[in-house]
Amino acid sequence: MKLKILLTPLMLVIIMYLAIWVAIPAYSGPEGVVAAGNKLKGAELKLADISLKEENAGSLVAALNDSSEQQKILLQYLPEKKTDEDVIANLNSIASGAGVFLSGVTMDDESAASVVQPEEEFMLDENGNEIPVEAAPKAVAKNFKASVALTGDYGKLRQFIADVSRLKRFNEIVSMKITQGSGAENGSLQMDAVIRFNYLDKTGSIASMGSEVFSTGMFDMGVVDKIKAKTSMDILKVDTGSIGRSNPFSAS
Amino acid sequence: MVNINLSTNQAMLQDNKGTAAAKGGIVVIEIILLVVAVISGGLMLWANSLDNKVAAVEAAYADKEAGLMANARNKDIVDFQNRLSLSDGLVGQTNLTFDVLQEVEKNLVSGVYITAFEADKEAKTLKLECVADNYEAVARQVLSFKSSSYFSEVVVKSASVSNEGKTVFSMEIALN
Repeated sequence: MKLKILLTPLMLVIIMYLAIWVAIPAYSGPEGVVAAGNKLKGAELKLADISLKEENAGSLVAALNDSSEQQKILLQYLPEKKTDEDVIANLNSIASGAGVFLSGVTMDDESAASVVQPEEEFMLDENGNEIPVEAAPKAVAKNFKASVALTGDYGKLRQFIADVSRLKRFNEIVSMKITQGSGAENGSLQMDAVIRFNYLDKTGSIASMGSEVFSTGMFDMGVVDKIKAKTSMDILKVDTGSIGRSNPFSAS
Repeated sequence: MVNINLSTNQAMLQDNKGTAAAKGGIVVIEIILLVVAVISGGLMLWANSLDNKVAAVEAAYADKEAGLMANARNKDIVDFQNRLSLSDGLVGQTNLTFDVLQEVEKNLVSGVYITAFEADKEAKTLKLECVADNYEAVARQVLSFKSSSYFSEVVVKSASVSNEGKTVFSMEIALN
C-alpha cells in the first residue's frame, strides 16, 4: 500500500525527467532532431553541389580539349616557368630591332607566395542558412625584375619601350630613367629601366573543389581576345645550338 | 418500521468512489508516462537515424571530392582557370610609365627641353630635370603639366640660371 502511495509521485518525477532532460534535448538540443535535420540538409546540399561540379568538370575537360590555341596564348602571356633566358633573348632582340645598344641586364627575384589562402566562404540553403564551403585558394604569380641599361637616341629608345609593351608575355615597366649620356652631343641618351615579368607555377594539386569554374561549368575566354588585341610582338624562344667543349676556358 | 443505517453505506460508497478516482488518476499518469517515454525514445532513435544519414551523405561527398581532386584533367582545369583569372587582371593594366612619357611629350611647351626623366610606377612619381629659355617658360611648363589629368601635383624643386644664360629647373610630379 505504501509503495502504491509512492508510485504516483515517482511517475510524475519520471515524466518530468523524461520531458525536460530527454525529450526536449532530443528534439531541439545541439544533438537533437532539429539540429541533425539541418545538418542533413546542409550535407545533402553540399553533395548536390559536388555532383553538379562533377558533371561540369566533364564539360570543362571537353572545352579544354577544344582550346589548344587559347591555352598556347595564355601560356605565352603567363608562362609556367620563369624562362628568364627567353626574357634576356627577347630584350636583346627588341633592342636590336629598335636600334638601341643594350649595355646591361640584371635579374632580380621578387619574393611572393604562390598561393593565398582564401577566407571561409558560405553557400545558402533554401531557408537562407549559411553552410560553410571550402573556397579555392587564390593563385598568385611569381615576379622577377629585369633591369636594363640602354643607349640610343630618343626615338629608338621610345620604340624599344613600345615594343616591350607589345610583347606576347606580360610585362610592366616599373621604373624608367632617361638621361643625357656621355654621347649627349650626338643626341644619344642613356636609359635605365626596370621591367617586371612574372610566371605562374603549374597547378600540382587541387586544394579544394571551391573553384568558381566548376560551379559555372565554362571558361571565360574573353581574356584571350584582350591579350590578342593588346600584344603583337612574338616571343623569341632560345635554342642552345651546338653544345659541348673540350676546353671550357677557350672561346673556340 | 425497519431502521436502515444509510450513513454506513454512504461512507462505503464514497470510499469506493475515491478509490476509483485514484485508480483512474494513476492510469492517466501511467498513460502520460508511457506517451512521454515513447516520444523520448522515438526522438532519440530519429536523431540517431538522422546522424547516420548525415554520416553517409558526408562520406559520399568526401568520396566524390577526393575523386575529383585526384583527377589529373581537373588539375589542368584549375590551372587554366587560374591563368585566365590572373591574366584578366594583368591585361587590364595600363603601361603607366610609357603613358607618362607620351603625356610629357604632349605637354612640353616651347622653349623647354628635358635633360633627365625618371618615372616610378610604384612610387607614382615623375622627376624631371629641364632646361628653359627663361623663367616665363618654366611657369608655362608648370601650368601645362598641371592641366594634365595624368598629374595630380606639380612641384618645382629648384630653378636657377646657368652660365649659358638658360634656366635649369627640376620638377617632382605626382602621378594619378
